[in-house]
Amino acid sequence: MITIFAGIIMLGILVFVHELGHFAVAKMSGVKVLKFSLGFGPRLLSRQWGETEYLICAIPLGGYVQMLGEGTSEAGEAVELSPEDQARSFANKPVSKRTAIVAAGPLMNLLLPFLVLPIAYMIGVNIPAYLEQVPCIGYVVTDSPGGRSGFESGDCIEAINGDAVATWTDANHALIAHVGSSLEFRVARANHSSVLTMNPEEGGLEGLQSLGLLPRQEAIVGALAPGMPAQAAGMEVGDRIVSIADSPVGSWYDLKHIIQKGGGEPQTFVLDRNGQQLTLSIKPVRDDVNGIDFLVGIAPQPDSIFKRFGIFEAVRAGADRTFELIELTLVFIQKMVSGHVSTKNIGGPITVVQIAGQAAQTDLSSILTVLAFLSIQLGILNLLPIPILDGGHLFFNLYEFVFRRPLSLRSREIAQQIGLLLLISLMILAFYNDIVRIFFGGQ
Amino acid sequence: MAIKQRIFTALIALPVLVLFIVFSGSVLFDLLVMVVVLLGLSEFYRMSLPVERTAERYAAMAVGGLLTLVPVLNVGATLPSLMLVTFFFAIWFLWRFHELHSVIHHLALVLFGFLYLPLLLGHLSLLHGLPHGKEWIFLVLFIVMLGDSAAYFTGVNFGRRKLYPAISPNKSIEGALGGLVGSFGGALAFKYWFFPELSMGDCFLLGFGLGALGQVGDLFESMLKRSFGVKDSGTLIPGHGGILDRLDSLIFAFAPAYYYALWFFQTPR
Repeated sequence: MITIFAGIIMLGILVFVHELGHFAVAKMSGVKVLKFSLGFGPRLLSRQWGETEYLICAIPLGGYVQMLGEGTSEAGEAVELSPEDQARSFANKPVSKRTAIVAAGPLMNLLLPFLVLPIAYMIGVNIPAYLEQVPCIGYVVTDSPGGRSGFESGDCIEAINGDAVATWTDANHALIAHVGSSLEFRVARANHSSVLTMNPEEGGLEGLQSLGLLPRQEAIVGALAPGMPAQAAGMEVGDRIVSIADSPVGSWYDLKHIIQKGGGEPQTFVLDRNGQQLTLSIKPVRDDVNGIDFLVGIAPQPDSIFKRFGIFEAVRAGADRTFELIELTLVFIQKMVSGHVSTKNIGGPITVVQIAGQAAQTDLSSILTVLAFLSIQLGILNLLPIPILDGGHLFFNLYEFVFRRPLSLRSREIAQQIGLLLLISLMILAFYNDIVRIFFGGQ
Repeated sequence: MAIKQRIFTALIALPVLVLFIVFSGSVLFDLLVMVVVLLGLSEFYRMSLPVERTAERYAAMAVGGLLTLVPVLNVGATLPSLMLVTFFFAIWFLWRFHELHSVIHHLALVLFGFLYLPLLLGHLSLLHGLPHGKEWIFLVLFIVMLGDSAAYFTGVNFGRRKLYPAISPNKSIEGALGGLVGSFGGALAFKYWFFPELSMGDCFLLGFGLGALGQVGDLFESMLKRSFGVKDSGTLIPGHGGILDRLDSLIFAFAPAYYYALWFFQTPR
């Protein structure tokens, strides 16, 4: 119940920010705003303040700003406007102003993270622990730039082009600073230093991982997939895997190799649970995605530490993260359109409320982080060129701007109907996914 | 005629400027900054102080020139230097007050000149001394100049509503917004071509932040000129008005860029 309530409040904040964008620019452009509503449907609370009615309505999954001259009146028929109102009607404003009013909503959603993420970072967030640890390589990806330069797992980077590095973050910074010139890594390997060089063409702007150098990952179970062999055999979160089929396990990266070698036969797992050794026999199953790999259904522990950022660092990290999230969302949409990501990943309002509600039960910085992510998704979704969404509206404006006349009413009506149909099918799909996820526990 | 002269000047001046930033060592660069400050102060005091204050004008220029060098030599000495400067001109004007009702006005103008030019432009030397100093200076030039050009073109084509008619009648709100977008674009372009260490967040904060401050600097200088009743701040650069007319946006952008580079960009560990 608290989850639902908290989720609705967060969704409400996003809707409020969005509608506030439309509302403020409409007022500034001299458009008469009739209604500013949070939620749809029957009104719960309303108050007339000047020429605008402010409402809170029963269905909390959206909101709207109703402007004079936008569509039709409440009763459904077009209304006659007085000359004074004519000038203040949305429809009679020049295309530039209408564009600004429409764009302001999604834009506010895209700008909100620049405000809330720095606050989250100042309160403190959990970041991967390896970033603050000595940059020792846990695994070198085969045929990666790192592999070609002769890196081996266990190497600890001491300096990059003469800049001493103490942590993984330092190493990433130094790497980025020297990208484009040839790189010289001073590396500690088995008590002596050696120097590895790398061509400038190998890249590395995204950090060590982009060179195929991965951090250490201990073989501690962080999560168990339900119904998979490991869980069925009695493995628990927090167990350290000591050996499999008599092969010692040094890090997480050893697991895959040993399990593949077993060829799907039952293997003896030796585990360390709170200092006590125990032995399990587990029979891996074939991965149903590619049918080649054998899996037992475990995931590593995301080892994280709590970090507070100073104000400047927080502002910068917040801005960076905002762009990362925008990119992530765009890539996701692109992959979904091209069919590389299943439409099962589309979540409807119920999922949004659920995610938001779950975050609300943790801590303020998680709430703000989730709020920022949802805000970006809402902003980008609204900018998609689908009629009846803001993006569709902008698309019509673009046509009007290029051809110096609006798209014909008839075409717009047809487009609106197609858009509505698209949106309704999307909503049905989203609700369907939501319901399947909640009641049948599927992913 | 004027536009031809402008292009000609730009053709000569711009490469010289670029060569200077790229190749001059720190001492030479600091001296260049001092020369620019001296030219700026000369214009500022010519506009603001009456003819009978010529002695004060030269004294203030000398003091201002020295003041520009203080932060690069020793940042900690800035505050005591300002104290000395305050005492110096307090005593100076006690000796030479001329007319009681105007003396405080003149004293205020002299002191404001120090805040406007040596203080703000002194950061240009500091910026030059940072790691990637040259890149930072060119980044600011990119952000401000592309912002200016974008503001001009959006203003000419789409400008409807006046931005601030009392001070700058030719500027429009549309132009100002276009300028901000242009500044952001300038930051992005610079990142991709010359300065990959910048993140998208940096480009956003710097593009919009310095772009906006540059526009404020422009308006501020227009206000100064209107207040002093002149059209151009000087005649230093043929076709371009005075040096203050050229530098108005940059004066407000270099100092914040320095603090961004120092506090935001170089994450201390």
